Amino acid sequence: MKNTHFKIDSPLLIVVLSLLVIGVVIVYSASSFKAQEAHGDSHFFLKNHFYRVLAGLFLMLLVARIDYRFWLNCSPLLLPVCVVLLLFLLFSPDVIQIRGSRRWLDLGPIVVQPSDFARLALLLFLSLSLGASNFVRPKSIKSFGFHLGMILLVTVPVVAQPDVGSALAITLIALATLFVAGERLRHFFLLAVAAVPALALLLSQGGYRTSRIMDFVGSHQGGEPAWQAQQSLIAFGNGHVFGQGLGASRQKFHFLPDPFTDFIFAILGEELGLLGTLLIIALFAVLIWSAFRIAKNAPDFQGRILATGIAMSIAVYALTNMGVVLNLIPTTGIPLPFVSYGGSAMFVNLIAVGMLLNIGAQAKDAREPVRNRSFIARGRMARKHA
Amino acid sequence: MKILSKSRKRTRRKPAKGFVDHGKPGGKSWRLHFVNFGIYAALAGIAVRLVFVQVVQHPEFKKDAEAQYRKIYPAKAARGSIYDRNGMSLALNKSRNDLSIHKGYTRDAAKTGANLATLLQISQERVMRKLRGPSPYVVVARGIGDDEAKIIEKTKLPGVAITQSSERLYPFPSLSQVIGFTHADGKGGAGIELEFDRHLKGTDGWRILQQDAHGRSIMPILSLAKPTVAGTNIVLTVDHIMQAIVEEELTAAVNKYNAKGGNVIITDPTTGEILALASSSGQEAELQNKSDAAAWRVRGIADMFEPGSTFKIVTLMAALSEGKSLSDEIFCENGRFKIFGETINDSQEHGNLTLRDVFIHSSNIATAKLALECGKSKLYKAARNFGFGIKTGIELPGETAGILKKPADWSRFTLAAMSYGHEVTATSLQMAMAYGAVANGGLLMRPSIVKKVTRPGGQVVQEFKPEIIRRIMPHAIASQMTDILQGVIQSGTGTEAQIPGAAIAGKTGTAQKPTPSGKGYSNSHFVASFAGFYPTRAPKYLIYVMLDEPYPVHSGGMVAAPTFKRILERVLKIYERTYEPTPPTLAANIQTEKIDRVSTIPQLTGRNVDTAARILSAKNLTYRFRGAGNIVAQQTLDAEKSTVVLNLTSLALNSDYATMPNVVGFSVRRAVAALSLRGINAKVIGGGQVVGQAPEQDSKIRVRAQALLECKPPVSIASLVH
Repeated sequence: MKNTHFKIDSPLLIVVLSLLVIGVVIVYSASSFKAQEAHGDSHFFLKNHFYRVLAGLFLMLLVARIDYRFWLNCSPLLLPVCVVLLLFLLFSPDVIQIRGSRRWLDLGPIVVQPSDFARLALLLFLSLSLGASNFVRPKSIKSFGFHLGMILLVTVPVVAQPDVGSALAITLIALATLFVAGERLRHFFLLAVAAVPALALLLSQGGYRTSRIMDFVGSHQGGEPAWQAQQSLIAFGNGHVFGQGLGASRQKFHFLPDPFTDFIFAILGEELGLLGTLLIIALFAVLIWSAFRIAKNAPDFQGRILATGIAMSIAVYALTNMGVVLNLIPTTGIPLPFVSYGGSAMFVNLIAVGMLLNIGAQAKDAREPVRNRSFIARGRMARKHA
Repeated sequence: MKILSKSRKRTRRKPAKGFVDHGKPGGKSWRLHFVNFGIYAALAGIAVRLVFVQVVQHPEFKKDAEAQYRKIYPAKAARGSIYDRNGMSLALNKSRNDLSIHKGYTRDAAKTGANLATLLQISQERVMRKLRGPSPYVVVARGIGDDEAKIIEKTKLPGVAITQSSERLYPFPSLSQVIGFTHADGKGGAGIELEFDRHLKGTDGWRILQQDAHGRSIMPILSLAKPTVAGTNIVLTVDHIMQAIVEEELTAAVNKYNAKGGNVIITDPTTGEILALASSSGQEAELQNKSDAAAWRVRGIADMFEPGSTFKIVTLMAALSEGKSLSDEIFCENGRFKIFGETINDSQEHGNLTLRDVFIHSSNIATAKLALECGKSKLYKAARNFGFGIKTGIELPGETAGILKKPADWSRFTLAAMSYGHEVTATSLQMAMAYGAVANGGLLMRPSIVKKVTRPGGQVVQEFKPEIIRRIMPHAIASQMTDILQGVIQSGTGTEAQIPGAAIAGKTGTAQKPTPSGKGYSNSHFVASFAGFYPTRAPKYLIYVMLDEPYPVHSGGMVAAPTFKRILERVLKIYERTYEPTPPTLAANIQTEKIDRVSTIPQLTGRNVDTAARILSAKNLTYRFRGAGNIVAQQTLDAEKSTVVLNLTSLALNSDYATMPNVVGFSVRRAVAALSLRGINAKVIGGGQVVGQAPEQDSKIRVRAQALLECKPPVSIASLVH
């Protein structure tokens, strides 16, 4: 009782809260025009987003109080459920399709993207199984093959949606966990050699993918993605160092098609300038740093893998989104974590942060007895004693 | 829970081997750091890219951004008006209301369209068809009434907008070719509109509006606008009343004498100003085609013809300048004179005639003899002096110079032929100006049709003063010639132009038209003309009349002279107070003429008193006012006195109360107009026909108060069928 130090990773929490606050502000700025036009209420999207952020934060704190091992142990159940959901998307007749893609599930108040949940379930499962040496021998080709199989179990239906962007992101995140878990480098090389023809095949088939790539490579010869990319760059470029001022974006007036979801970073760059965008970069850097610190100090191997996976997950999504809006990589529908208008990705990210917080709360270098730690740790303890 | 506890046990029981190797918490973990730094490197890459895009490429993107946000909306300058010498508008701009629907902004485009169609009483079908088109912005109706426009604007229906555009109006349906027209883009296309386009058009401005990706404006940047400068007005020398008279009389003459066409020009001989300029062959239908340059030519300056005897003043001037006396006698060969293998005929056979009588009776033979005496160069010089073969320099497009051959190109017979107006061509305007020089005492004036250029406020920018080209003869010779021309009217070929009590001088002309083959002259196709002026001393009006191919009566004296007389009579009646009323017989003629025209009395109710008076006087109708006020409430005709009686009323704007009229059964437009005449505003509920009104008929209503009009679309046959 003498030490009331909360063993909550405050940098991580502060960074996430900062990103959420900035997100709410920019979402409002970027959406008010469209909200007024489509719903007659300029606060329409702001309200939705705000409620979702609150709900997400609640979930995050709830998850933070639950021992992450609970989720690890649930993962053998969660992963199949998610895979079934993904398959359901592919084969159900009444799934909403947007631009020919079956990625979304309409749950009434919110439209979720099951691939987001599948991503987390996969991470949990990989963390569990990579740490379970009695299951397959670690670092064996068998282990590598098994985990690769698990990854494909998730990514193949996602590719089929088709959502190659998300599939590639998930693959990258999952491979990172395998890498950190210590799988043999030669297996990775083997995979790389095998992946080249597979990727080539993938790109040569999909019409929209090919055109997006061609748009990207062929330096904007037209088409919607090329227009988006150009408009996005105009937003950044016109923002200059100090920005046009909060709310003063003009790219949001139909120039950028998704000003408060996928292209919110561009609007931020236009309104807040280089200072704003670099602040976001810095926040993400701190976030990643915190996450990796938690991974490093995780109480066990599985916690470390999970923390790494979550850090990778947030990093890959953030980098992909920024890469797209800065026209460094072809257009994919990936939102900026914590900032973009709330969808299932935001919930999943906040839940993941909750897990990170829990791992951090159990850090092995903690000097204090468990019962004296944060409310998060106490929550964990309470369950333990129950 | 089972799975959970089981797996937990499993992990606890057997820690992974890898855990010890490289994953141990706190242990060496290069892979973790590798991934971590990989991410930092990528973030750094993004940061570099941001600096590049937001700082280095900023100017480029800023330019792109500005280009796509800002749309320059051109603002058209108001085009100047064209007035006659008395300030009557001959061409003016009227703003027109167009109704448009922006589908993206309406709650229900189809319903909005249907409502508007009902309100405006236009076809719903058409509106719907327009709305179904792909464009988000649809102009539903053009040129809707001001009242409707106001009502629609008041409703503030989302997505519905009234836009104003300018329309060029020519309220005075004459002088078409002189005034010309403007193209759809506002550029002048013919006549004054073309010639003075640079004055009329003004300077266009622009306004910059910020726009979104669909081209809708976000906000206006007030500071970024270039104001328009309205075009200047053109005041013509033309008098619209004289023009109306001339056009009416010319049309009447062309019909009466079966002519192909004709020109009439009235000028003020002392200034060279054109008071009226009309040609009859420019039919309304032809003028519909704006690209038909031939239809839009001003025939009085663009068409040349062999003038015939009216040209004899050139020979007369040459002879008088040579010192010939009016009493010199010339033998007229009894009507037939062979010279250089050609035969010259006179319409009447004469023996010896004095110089004076030669012209009074228009003997070709004697005129030719005089010309032969003077010689080629003298006649040529006289013709040049009169301005033949040279453009007059009038401020109108499309003038021709006429053909005056150089003496070197003349045949032996040319001198004789030219003396009485053959083998030379001239325009009507050239003839008018030549006679003007005789009338004003020997000065050839530059004709002008533009009096001044004024700013919208009335300030004069430029004034066109009378311009003397040159003196072509001494005053004495001019008065000798005037004397002869007066004799033409009194006792010669021009007696048909006589107006009792009026001192008129003039000359007839009857020219055979050259045959289409170009060889010789036709015996059945003539150009009849008459040039005359009044009064003989200090002349004010010079009228040139030309009729093309009148048939069967074709002589200038029998065809053009009476036309001249009728025009001059009507002009004098309006403009010359000192001029004595015409004798009884003539007055009777005018009376009948007036009765004939009763059916053409224009609708004047609701018009301003001054306007009504002007319209009636232009039509040469007498009128009388009854009651006091400034608005014509009712018009009746006193057939006995052939007088239009106008009952006047005051616009009740100054009184506090107005009497509500009955408007039930009226169309919305008519009802609103009836109410606004009394200063009552109308609130229209529904659309179509008025079925109910509040307050009741004859009840008092406060001026500027709102009367309620309940309207329903009129029952159409279509609705009965279905």
